Amino acid sequence: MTAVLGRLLGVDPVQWKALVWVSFITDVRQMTRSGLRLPRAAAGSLGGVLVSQLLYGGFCAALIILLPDVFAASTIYYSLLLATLGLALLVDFTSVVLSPDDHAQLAPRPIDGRTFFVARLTSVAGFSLLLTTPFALLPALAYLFRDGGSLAAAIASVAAAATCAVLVPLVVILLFLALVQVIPASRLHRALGYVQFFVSFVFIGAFFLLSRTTRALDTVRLEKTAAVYLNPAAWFAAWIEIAEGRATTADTAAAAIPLALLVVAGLLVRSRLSLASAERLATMFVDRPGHPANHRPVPYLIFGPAHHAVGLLAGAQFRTDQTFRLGVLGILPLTVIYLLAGFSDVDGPDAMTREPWLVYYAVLFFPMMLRQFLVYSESWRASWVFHAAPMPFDEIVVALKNTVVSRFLVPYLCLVMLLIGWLYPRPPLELLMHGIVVGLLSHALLTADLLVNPSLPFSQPRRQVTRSFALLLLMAPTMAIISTIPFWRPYLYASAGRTFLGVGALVVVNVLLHETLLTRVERQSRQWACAS
Amino acid sequence: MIRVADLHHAYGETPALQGLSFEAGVGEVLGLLGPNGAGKSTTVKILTGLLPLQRGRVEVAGFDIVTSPIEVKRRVGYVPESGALYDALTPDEYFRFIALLYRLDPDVVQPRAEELLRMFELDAVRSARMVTFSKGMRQKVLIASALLHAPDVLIFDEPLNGLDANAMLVFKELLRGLAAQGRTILFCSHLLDIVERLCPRIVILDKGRAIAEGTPEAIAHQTGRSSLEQSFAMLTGARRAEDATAGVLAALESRP
Repeated sequence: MTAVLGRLLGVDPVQWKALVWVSFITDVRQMTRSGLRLPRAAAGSLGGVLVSQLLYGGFCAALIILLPDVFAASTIYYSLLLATLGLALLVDFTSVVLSPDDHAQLAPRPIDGRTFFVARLTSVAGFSLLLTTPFALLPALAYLFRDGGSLAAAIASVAAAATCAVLVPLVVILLFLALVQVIPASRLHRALGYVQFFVSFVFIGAFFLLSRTTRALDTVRLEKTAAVYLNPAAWFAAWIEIAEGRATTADTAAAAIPLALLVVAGLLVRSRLSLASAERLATMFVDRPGHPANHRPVPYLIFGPAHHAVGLLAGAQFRTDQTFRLGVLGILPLTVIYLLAGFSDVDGPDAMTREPWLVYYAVLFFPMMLRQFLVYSESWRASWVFHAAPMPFDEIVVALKNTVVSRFLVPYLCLVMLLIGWLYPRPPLELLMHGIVVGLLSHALLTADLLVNPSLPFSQPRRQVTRSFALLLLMAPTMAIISTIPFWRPYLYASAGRTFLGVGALVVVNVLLHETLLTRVERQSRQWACAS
Repeated sequence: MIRVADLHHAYGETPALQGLSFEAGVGEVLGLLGPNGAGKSTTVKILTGLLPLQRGRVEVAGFDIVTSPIEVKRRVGYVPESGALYDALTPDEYFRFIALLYRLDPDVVQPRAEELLRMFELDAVRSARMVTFSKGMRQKVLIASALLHAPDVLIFDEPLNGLDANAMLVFKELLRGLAAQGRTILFCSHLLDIVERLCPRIVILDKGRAIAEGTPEAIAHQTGRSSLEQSFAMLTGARRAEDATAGVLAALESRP
C-alpha cells in the first residue's frame, strides 16, 4: 500500500517511512523528557497540551450551544482553532515543521527533495491533526445535540476542522519563511512566543469574564456582510451553514476558498519545504558572537556570594530561556484575572468589595512554582560546578530560596498589596501587617518546599512528573491556609497585641523551618552525587 | 599533591573502582589512562567532590576529602569531560559566577581573567552568550575558569576536546608552566600519544584497578613491547586491531 502510494507520489516509500518514524519518535521523546514545547504558557506536557485543546474545544462547544446565532458561534470556534493551530506551529516552526538541524543531519544522506518534502508534510499534518482532534471533538457533539442540531452539521464541522489542520501548516510554512526574510529568525521566534502567550491569556481572560457575564451572550450576533468573510474562520463557518441548509450565495463562495487555497498553498510550499530551506534556516539561526551584554556590578549589601551567583544565573536564564521567562511573566496577567475575580456584574457597581482569595493563592503558590523553574533546567549538566566549588551545599540551597524571595516574592507582594489596597480599601497599617503575614506564610511554604525536595539551582533535567508531584504535595497546606483566611483574619487584626503575637509566631515558624532546612541539607548533601 | 589509597566505588551492584591506589607529587603531571569504563571518570569525580567517597582514602593538597571537602575544593581546579557550562552566561559573567562561588576578591580575579581571555583569544567574544560558542571555545572558557582561583591541584578530564591545533599548543605549554610552578596535575585522557607526550608518569586503569604505573618507557619495557600503545593494548586485553577489523572489512567486501 505504502509502496504503491510512494510510487504514485514519486517518493521513496522506505525513506519516507524512516523520516516520518524518526520525526514521530523525536517528538514523543522530547515530550516525555522536557515537555512538548508547543503552548508554552499552557501545561507543558503532551497530556497538558491535549487537555488544554480539549478545554478550548469545550469553551467553543458551550458557545455553540448557548449562542442563538450559529454562524457567530461557528466563526468564533474556527477563529480560535485557526489561531491556536497557527500560533502553535509558528512558535515551534523550527522544531515541528523545519529544523535547522535537518540540513546537517540529512544533507549527506541520499534523500531526494521530493521524499523529504512529503515526509515533512506528513509529520506536520499528523502533528496538526493531533492538536485538532481534541479541539474538534466537543464542538462536533455540540453541533449534533444543540437545539436544532444535525448530523450533517457535526460531520461538516469535523471536515472543516480537518481541512484547517492541513491548510494551516501550509500557510504557516509560507508565512514563516516569508517573515524570516525580513525579521531575524531568533527575534521572530521570541516575538511569536510573546504573541502566543498574550493570545492564550486573552482566551483565558475572555472565558473567565464570559462566565461572569452570561447575560451578554444572548446579544451576540454576526451579520453576514462582506467584511465578515475577510476572516478565514467565516469560510469554515459557511460549511456549517451549508450543512444546515441556511447558506447564502456568499456562504457557498466562501466555503470554496479553503479548498482552492489548499491547492495553491500545496503547490507553493513544495519549493520551500526542502533541505535547501533547512540549510538557509540553519544559517539564519546562528547568533553572531560578540553581541554585547549588560555589565551590571553585583551589589554586595545583604546577601552573600552564593546568593549573587544564583541570582546571576537566574537573570541570565530569564534573558535567554523563553519557557522560564514566559512562566514568570505569566504570573502578571493571572494576577489581574485573580484580582478581577471579585468582580461580578450581578452584584452591581459595589462588586469589588469581596476580596478575591485567588490572589493569595498566587502569592503563596507562585514562589514554589518559580523555585521549580530555577531547579529544572536544560542546562542541568553544568551543575557539576556547584559540586566542585568550595561552597557548602546548604548555602547554595538557601541562596536559591533567597533569590526567589528577593527577586520575586518581595516585589510581587508589594505590587499585589498596592493593588489590593487600591481595589479593596482598608487602613494602611492593617494592609502592611497583612502583607507581612502573607509574605511570611509564603516564605514558610517555600522553605517547606525546599525541605521536601532540597535541590541545587539549575541542577535537574526537566521532568514533568517530579515537578507535579512536589507541587501537589504542597498544594494541600496552601489551599488550607487560603480557605481559612476569612476565619483567622478578623481575629488576627482585632488588636495590635494579637497582630504582633501572630507575626511573632510566624517568624518563629519560619526560623524553625529555615534551621531544619540547613540541617537536612547539611546531612543529606554528604551523599549527594552530581547527576551530570 | 594527590594521594589515593584503596579506593572503591560501585554504582548499585556494578563495581567501578576496586581498590585503586596512586599518588601524584607536587609539580608532577600524572597521566591517567584507561579504556572506556575503566574507572577514570569515577576517580576524577570522587577527587573533585562530584561523587561521595564510598570506601578508601583520598587526600588532596594535604586535606582529607571526607573531613575537609571544602578545603580540598578550594585548592582544586577542574575541567570536566562533559564540557558543560551555563551557556546562558557570557564568559565575563561565567568568570564572575565562578569568582563568587570561590569567594575570590574581584581585584585579584580581574587581572587573571584578562590574561586568561587574552591567552585563549577570547577577548572578542567575552560579552557574547556562550550558547553561540563552538565546542572548542567552550572548552577554552572551562580551562580558563579552572585556573581562575590559582589552584594547587589541577584535574583535567579530556581537556583537549574540541581545541584547535593552536589552542592545543598553548595548552601544552601552559601545562608545563603550571607544573614548573609546583602545581600537581592529573591528566585523564584516552588519547595515548597526547598522554605519552605530556605526562612523564602514567597510571593505567582497567576494571577499576591500577594495572601499570611508571614512565611510558618503563611501562613498555615491563610489558616487553616497543611502544606505550602496544603495552596498553596488551594490558587492557584489547584484541589486535587487525583481528578487530577483519570481520567488518570482510563484510564490506561485497559492495551494494
